[in-house]
Amino acid sequence: MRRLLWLLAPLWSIACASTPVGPAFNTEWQNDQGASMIEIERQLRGTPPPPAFDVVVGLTADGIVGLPLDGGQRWSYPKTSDSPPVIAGELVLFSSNGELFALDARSGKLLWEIGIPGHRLRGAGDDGKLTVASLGSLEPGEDWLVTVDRSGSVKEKLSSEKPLGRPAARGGLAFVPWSGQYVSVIDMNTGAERGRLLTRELVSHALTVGGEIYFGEKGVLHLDERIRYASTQQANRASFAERELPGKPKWLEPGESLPELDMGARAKTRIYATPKFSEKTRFASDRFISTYFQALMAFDAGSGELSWARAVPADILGGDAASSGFVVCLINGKVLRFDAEGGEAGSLDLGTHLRGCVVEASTLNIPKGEALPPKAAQLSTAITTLGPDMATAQLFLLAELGKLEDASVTKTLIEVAMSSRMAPSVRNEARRLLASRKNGAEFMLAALEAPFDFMSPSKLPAPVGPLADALAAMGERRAAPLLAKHLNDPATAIEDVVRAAKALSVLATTEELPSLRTFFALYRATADDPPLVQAVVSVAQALVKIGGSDGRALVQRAAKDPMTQPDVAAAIGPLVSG
Amino acid sequence: MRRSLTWLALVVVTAGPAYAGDDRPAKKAPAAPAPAKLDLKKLAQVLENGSEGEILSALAELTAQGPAAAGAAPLVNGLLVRGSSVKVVIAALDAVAAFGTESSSEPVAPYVQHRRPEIRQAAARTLVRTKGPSAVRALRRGLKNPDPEVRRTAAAGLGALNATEAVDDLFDSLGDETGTAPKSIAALCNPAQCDRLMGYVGKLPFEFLEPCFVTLILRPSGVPDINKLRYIDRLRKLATKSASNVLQTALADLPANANPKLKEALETALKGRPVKLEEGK
Repeated sequence: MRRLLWLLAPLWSIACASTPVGPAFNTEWQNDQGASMIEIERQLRGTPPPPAFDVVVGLTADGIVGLPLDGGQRWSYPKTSDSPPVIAGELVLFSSNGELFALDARSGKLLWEIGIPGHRLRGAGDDGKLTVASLGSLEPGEDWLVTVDRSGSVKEKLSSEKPLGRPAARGGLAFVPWSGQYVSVIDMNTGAERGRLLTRELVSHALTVGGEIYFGEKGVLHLDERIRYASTQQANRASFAERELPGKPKWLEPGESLPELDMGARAKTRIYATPKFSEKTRFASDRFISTYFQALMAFDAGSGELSWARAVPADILGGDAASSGFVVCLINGKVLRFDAEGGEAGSLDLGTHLRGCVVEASTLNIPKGEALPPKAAQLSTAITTLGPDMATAQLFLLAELGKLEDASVTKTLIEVAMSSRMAPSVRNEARRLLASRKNGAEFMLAALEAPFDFMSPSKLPAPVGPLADALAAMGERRAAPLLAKHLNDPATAIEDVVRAAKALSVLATTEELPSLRTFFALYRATADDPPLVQAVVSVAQALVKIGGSDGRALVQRAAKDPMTQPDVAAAIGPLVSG
Repeated sequence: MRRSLTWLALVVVTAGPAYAGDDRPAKKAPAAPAPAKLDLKKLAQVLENGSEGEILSALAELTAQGPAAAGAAPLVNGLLVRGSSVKVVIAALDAVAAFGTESSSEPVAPYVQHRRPEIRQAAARTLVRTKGPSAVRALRRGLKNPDPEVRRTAAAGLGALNATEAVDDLFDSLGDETGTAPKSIAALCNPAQCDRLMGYVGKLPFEFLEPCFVTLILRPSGVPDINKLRYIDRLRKLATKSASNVLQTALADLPANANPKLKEALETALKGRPVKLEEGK
């Protein structure tokens, strides 16, 4: 049973008197079919949008640093935070050891601080005059919702046994999600609940973007004239295409949970997106970005298709989708800006190693940057730049690369398959994709032709097997002498020998007869495992096919020779019978 | 069984010692043995159609005859060209190694690339015994073999075969640091190449290069004495026990008819004093 306590009892009567829906967060409320919300929506149209300020805020071991994205001065505040800071309008809020602090986002100057014993900051909103903060209890206990004016005076302090979500504010009203399906609209001056939204959408966040208000978690509902239909799933909604991404990142984490300062994988695998209903997909830049440590990938918000990808020099700790373009914040303190198409549009520097980072850029329009090369080259660079511990991202990007027809893809796949820097799983995936390539034969032939240097610490032998498969499928006869050379090279892995032999049974000409005869002589009686037996049989097929009567006689004789390995003899006999 | 017994009559010992299975090149060629009387027709039958046991028996006896049985080389070469079981191939390689005939190098060469280590290693050793341009070509390829044992044999073998044309390949294989290339280079190098080899002092591990120094200093020809004096002084400058050991060994092994300047230089260097770098008798 949910319970709400008015901590400031004298205001209780005022609140009751002014609310059409009863006490805030009460569970006796009856669905008003959106009537109260549409009233609020109409009322808000006449209020100025809350101010916004684009800024990057980083957490260091010693305190908080900030950098305005409009070119303002870097600032710092010597207090550590026990939760990720929240950028609310022109304020930066953070909690530290039972106190809640508000800094001016432009200068870092302390605006106010209040005591919040036993609580930590969860989320906050600001309408330009008043700030609303959702505070989570450190021990099992009640959550708090406080509203504070610019002087630091607490206007309201509500508590609830039910965890509250992350609020937004506009025009003196706080929008507070709770219980996964409600958004209560609280008068920040009186504490009264002025309206309530019931949705069928999972809702734990209220967002303010460019003056517009959105509610949701997996997707978002827009506060507009259709919000009254939210309970019947007919409100205006925005969500992007879901797809499996490296590290299974989330856009909005469950808003009722108490956010942790996280230096680990969760902070580095995130999705950043900004709702913008004027765009075709209802998201700014029509894209969202996904991070995986040093991999940065942008996707079409409508189709989910990869738009562009990059590898950045250090782990990504934070980011935001700007009104146009994207901003990400790296663990080394660098802040990178990209235009919507991924072009690099300059960088900033917080000047210090970071433990956490949050970015607000929703009103920023990032100018066109240095254009990225075509997607095949982007992916190639990203895959080969990422280190061997980035296999999950590399596998994802390889799969994307494999979808492209560009012949240069073949070159990249060969490089990946031959790179000792790559994890075995990545090399194997590159080999798998190579085997089915239909173009890039020149790159394949060059790889087969290049001598293998076993002393090179960075290069592995050519992926002979996959190249053999692909070249045989293309009917590329120029591959025959090269495959024949690899057939007799002990550096060629046995699984590759099998595939080279099979390809030669299709591609070999009389030029390759000496190599085929040598292989047959060396292994017809010494083949000691099934793959080698299979290779010998393929070579026998080639000898019978192109070797004329001599080739046939050679195989015939071997089939009858008791020294020939029994499995080989059994398989080659039928090739020359009759 | 019958065939086995028949085989005993195929090889008749007539003269000369049995050739031991030593895989190192002999320092001094033994006196040419008188050829064994071979029933080549029967041998051919056994090698082509015999059981594995019969073939192995025949090859063992041929091997025991060594160069005296070299007349059988074409038949054993033929067996190698056709291919056979692991045991037979190794026995055939041993046989042609024992014959020491150059004609066997061509059929042996592909076996250096065999996937079974025991075969490729035996083939590399065999080529050092069969010699000739084909052997040198195959051993040069062997320097790039993924099997370090083959690489070691190839590097040593190229030195033993006096394959001066392989010096650059031997230099390429220095990075391997497992081979025997330094000693072979020292035995084959021209003055510029020898200087290049000494240039690796301080860049490659001393213990890897160590076998080359005495060879260089004691080279009877091909390296001017002034170069040798520089090498001695270079080793002196290292001022390590290992370098001192090298100088002592060179001094002990220095032929009596060597340039006295070399002896003087070695003695000076061993006292830790700079070597006078001037050529003279």
